[in-house]
Amino acid sequence: MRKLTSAPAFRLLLVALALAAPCLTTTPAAAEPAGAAANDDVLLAIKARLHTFEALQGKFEQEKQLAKIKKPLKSRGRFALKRRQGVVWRTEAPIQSLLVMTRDAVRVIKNDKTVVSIDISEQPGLRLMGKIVFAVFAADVEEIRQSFEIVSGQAKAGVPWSVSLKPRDATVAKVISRISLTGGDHVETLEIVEQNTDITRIRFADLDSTHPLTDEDERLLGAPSKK
Amino acid sequence: MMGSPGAPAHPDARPRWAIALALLWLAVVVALAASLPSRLQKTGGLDTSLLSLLPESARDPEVADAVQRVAGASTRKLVYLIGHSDFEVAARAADACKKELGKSSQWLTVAPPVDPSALGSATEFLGNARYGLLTSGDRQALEQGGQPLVDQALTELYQPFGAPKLFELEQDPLGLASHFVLERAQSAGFGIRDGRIVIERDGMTWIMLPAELRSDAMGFSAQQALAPVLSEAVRAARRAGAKQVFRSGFIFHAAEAATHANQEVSTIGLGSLIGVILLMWLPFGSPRPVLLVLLPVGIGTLFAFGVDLWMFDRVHLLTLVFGSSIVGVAEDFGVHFVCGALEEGPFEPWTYMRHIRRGLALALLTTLVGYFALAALPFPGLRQMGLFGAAGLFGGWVTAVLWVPFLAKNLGKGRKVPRFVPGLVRMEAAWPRLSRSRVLQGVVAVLFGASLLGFAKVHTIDDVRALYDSVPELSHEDGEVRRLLRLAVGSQFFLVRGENAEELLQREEALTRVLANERHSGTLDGWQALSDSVPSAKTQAQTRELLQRVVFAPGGAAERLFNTLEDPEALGRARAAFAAQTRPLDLPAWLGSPLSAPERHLWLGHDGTAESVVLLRGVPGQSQIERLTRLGASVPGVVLVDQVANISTVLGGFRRALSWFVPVGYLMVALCLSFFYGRGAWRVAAPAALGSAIALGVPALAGKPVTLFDLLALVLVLGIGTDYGIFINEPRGEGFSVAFLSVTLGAASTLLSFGLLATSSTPALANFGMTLLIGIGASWCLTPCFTQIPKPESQPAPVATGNEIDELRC
Repeated sequence: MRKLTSAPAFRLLLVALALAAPCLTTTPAAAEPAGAAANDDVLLAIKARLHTFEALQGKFEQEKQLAKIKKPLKSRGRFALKRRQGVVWRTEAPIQSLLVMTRDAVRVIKNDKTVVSIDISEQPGLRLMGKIVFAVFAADVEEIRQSFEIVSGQAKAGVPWSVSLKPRDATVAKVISRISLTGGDHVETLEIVEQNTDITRIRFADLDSTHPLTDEDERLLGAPSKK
Repeated sequence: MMGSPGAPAHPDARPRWAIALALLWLAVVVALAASLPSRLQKTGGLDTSLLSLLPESARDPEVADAVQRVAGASTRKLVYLIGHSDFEVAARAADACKKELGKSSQWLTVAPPVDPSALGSATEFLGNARYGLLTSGDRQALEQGGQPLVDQALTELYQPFGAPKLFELEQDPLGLASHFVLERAQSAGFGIRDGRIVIERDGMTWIMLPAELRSDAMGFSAQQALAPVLSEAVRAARRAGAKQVFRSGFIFHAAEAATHANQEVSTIGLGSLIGVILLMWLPFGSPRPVLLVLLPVGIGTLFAFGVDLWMFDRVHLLTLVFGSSIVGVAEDFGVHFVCGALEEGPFEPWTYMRHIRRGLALALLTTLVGYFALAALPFPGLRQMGLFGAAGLFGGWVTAVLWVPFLAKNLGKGRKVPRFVPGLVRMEAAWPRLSRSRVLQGVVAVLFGASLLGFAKVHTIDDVRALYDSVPELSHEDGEVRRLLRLAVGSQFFLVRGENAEELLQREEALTRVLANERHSGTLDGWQALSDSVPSAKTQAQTRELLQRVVFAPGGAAERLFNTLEDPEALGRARAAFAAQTRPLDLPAWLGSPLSAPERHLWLGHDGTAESVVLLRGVPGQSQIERLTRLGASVPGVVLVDQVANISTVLGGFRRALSWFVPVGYLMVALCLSFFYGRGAWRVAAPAALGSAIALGVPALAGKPVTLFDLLALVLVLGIGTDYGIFINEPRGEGFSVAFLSVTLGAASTLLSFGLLATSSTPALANFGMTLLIGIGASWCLTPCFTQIPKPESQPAPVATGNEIDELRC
């Protein structure tokens, strides 16, 4: 019943969106205005440059600038993403934490035990976001275009491409004002700007889309959420 | 000779008072019938509430009143869940369903769409009180210093995503208020989308359409009119693409039960009609006897309904159902009279009526004695039923005595006496008599002994769930709705009362603390309580004090958090925000906000005392109920109400009352009979009494439990069986006796009508029918056994007459 405007959960969505960018397909619609068509061209070009994958893993460095806190919070770790299944997010420093988002739930795991579990399937708000994430994994461009507007972007040869997205949904827009992606074969940086001026910058490195996920990660993504 | 048009030897003398009295009775009946519609309207139709059958003195009136209000409110509520994997399709289907329901806006209101902007202020609304709101888990953590909460907050800050947060870091450093709101939202289990209440589960999107019947829509006729609309709404939703539609609400059960009962009653009615036609029409070759038999029953029922309506404020539906069956006994009056037309010689209605009047009067008297005893019982329902039966029989008797002879003129003319009549006469003559047949004595002794053994090991069932199994489809849908809505089952709940809202909330908290232990031990799935959303002012103050001590004090959790973030200024701002915020959440404000919509029904109001209910999730078993009752009693102002048990209590009370009534009724009948028959009274009363004993005892010996409905059947056996005894034992006329014929025809038609209930799929009705079948069957079989052995000189007469009839037919 309560409306939940949940910045962190939206960030999850956006990270997943960004990482899954290679799976975007862009079919420009005839009725779209010229600007939109141009943006679709950018998306097409980016899509053409991205490598597709079933599983993607690598390192990340994150810098979070909270509006009211002077020093940025820096952290790093590893992630593993599997199309249509979810993402495992391991923060290794300065603190250790393990997060798993699957189709049904967001879980915080500590000492191999789920300490926090948010059942997305029973929360229409979160469910909507999850649905978008997994629609992206399924390369459902309609779902993405329903959710985001492309503000600007370029995909010139020889330099990293970049694109900037704005949420269409009024509820989402109340939390997120903009997200920006840059990259080459894969997404390399992601920047999320929130309405309260919190900024999260994530840089990905050592990306690997050829090897399968570790058994451990497969287990985390496959395991049903424990309550 | 028989049926010949020859002039009667002496004219059929009609008493002088006959016309005057018949007209007087007509006037009474017409006046009563004319007054019924306005009276029915004035009393608000038939009563259908089971609770109104309870003796009022047996309950705490305040509790009963609160229960009545909760029950009343909950019986008016209904809900549709319309599901599809796609939200848009489900939304369209829900709109179609809503549109259909809108056609009955005079009876029900569908809840308006939720205003999203009203919900937008939710965080603001709760934010004002956030330092007083704490989940029980966080409270425990804080009481132990709160370090895990600091760690968790830090973890979440470093993560790109995590549990949703409602407030800024400085306003809610440890996310405590967010946790509270999130826990409340998760326990509600549904959200809002496009102004619709949405539940997403198992890959399906469900849209909830709650509706409420207007208070005047609980009447029987309104329910009948509503039933097609309610099912058309389901069809409309399906046509619009809904994959699944679930319904829940009392009205669906009521509508289904009404339809079901209608079907069964029409089966029984049809059987009864066919029976009467076969038994009355064919032997006489004329439809008139059918009318003569049914007229007293019809007029009697009308009279009884009128009398009950004038005597009681509201007549209960059950009274009407069972009362009507009791009045069915009046059929015997007509049958007994009509069979006289098969007597030897020309049929003279008035002469014959004079001849049997004593028997009819005795039959009426004994039954009245019985049913007045019923009316003296302390249960409003039984009182109504007793009066209904007594009035109905009286009305039937008067009709039989005053009107039927007028209508029976020339009844015997041109009749063909069917073959089975002399057959029956021979049969009666050859019937084994108790005083002569050793075998019969043995059989009766064995049956009686078996019944006594059965009594000794009798066990009873009053559980309404065992007696009335609802339509499985509806029960299934109910269960699904409860599962999807995580709705507490409304039939068992705690009633909490307090001087004011604050005391009420404190008592609720005391209760839920006890219940929390039960949940840990697995006795209970959970509960739904106002105080979970609005803690008492006392608890909120304690929470604030705890936060002051553990979080915001020097060296507290907030300091540790912001030190890690290396931002002492932010710590200062967080402390300032805490110091500035003092307004607690209060119940009236919360009830006034749209946030409380899903829980507002828990609040019963403030009328002298503040009252609320705490609902239980899941269906507790009997042992849990007993435990919960004790736990409830341990908290002041709290009582566990168990409506299933209440209904079972009503049934149990009825059953116990009736199990006294039946033997006492027989005793009174026997006393009454001994006044007329002297020492021979036992011959009259014994067959019915023995039949009753067998009907109850033998199945009990075989392990069948005894229910209220078995005893209600015995009330009928008492009335009908005694009539048989009276008719057969009355001094016989000169010609061949038709008493056994009338008893046989009467028994056959009773068995064909009520006996058909034994085939009912409703256990209660099947019990009733089966017991009646055995009781009436046994009474009929046994009645001739107890008659005095006919004197040798009178024995050949019936046989001879039988032969004569045969000759005539050739």
